[in-house]
Amino acid sequence: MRLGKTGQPLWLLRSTSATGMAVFFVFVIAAIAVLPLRTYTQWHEWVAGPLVSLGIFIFFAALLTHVWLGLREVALDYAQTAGLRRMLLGLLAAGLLATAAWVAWILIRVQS
Amino acid sequence: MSPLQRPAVLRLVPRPAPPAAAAQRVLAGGLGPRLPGILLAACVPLAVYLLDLSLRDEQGFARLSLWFQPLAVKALAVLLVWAFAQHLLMGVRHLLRDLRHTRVLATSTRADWPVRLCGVGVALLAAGIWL
Repeated sequence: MRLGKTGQPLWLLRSTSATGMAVFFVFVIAAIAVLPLRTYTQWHEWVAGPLVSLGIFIFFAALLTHVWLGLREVALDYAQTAGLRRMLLGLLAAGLLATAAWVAWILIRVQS
Repeated sequence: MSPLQRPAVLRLVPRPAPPAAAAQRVLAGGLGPRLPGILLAACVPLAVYLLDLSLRDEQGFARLSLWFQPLAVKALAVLLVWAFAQHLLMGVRHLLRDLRHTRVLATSTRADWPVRLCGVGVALLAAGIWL
């Protein structure tokens, strides 16, 4: 059973997702420092903006990809049997997909 | 050989070793360097929950502000800042080393110390601001 690519494509994916997250993180820190985001209304309006919502969506896509790659390595390195690895990776994939759905639901709710 | 079938040679609980060797192994290999990343990954659902709560309604937003008042929560936040700084700085270091093709196993552990100290420095800065 082959679970995706290995080697350079994974390195590239991990590096790209990390760089994208870092860029978005700097953007959020700058926004919090510059914009008035102290009340619920201000915060909600800022997040509901199309570009910010898209940025949050891309950020979480990168984050969950990054988490998958990192914890997959840990599971492959430390779980001693193929069955245990398969179970851990299945649980991890289910958890990350549920988290992705949760984030999508939050962003859809903010738009309405 | 598929990733699922590759040999597992790493141990969660290392075999007994002399103290210096054990300390070196904890810092240089094993699960040690991965702990900040694992800690951050474990906090992702919490981060999504906090985002959800902050955007739910005004009560949720106000409740979130109150949650960060106790000292214990602030201390936990400082711990997460340390984990984040450590993970980010180590990641940047690994990336630069990979791009320059200068990854040398023998010197990597020694050169990790400045990065570790920077991570602690960022955490102390956060502690100075919040605590």
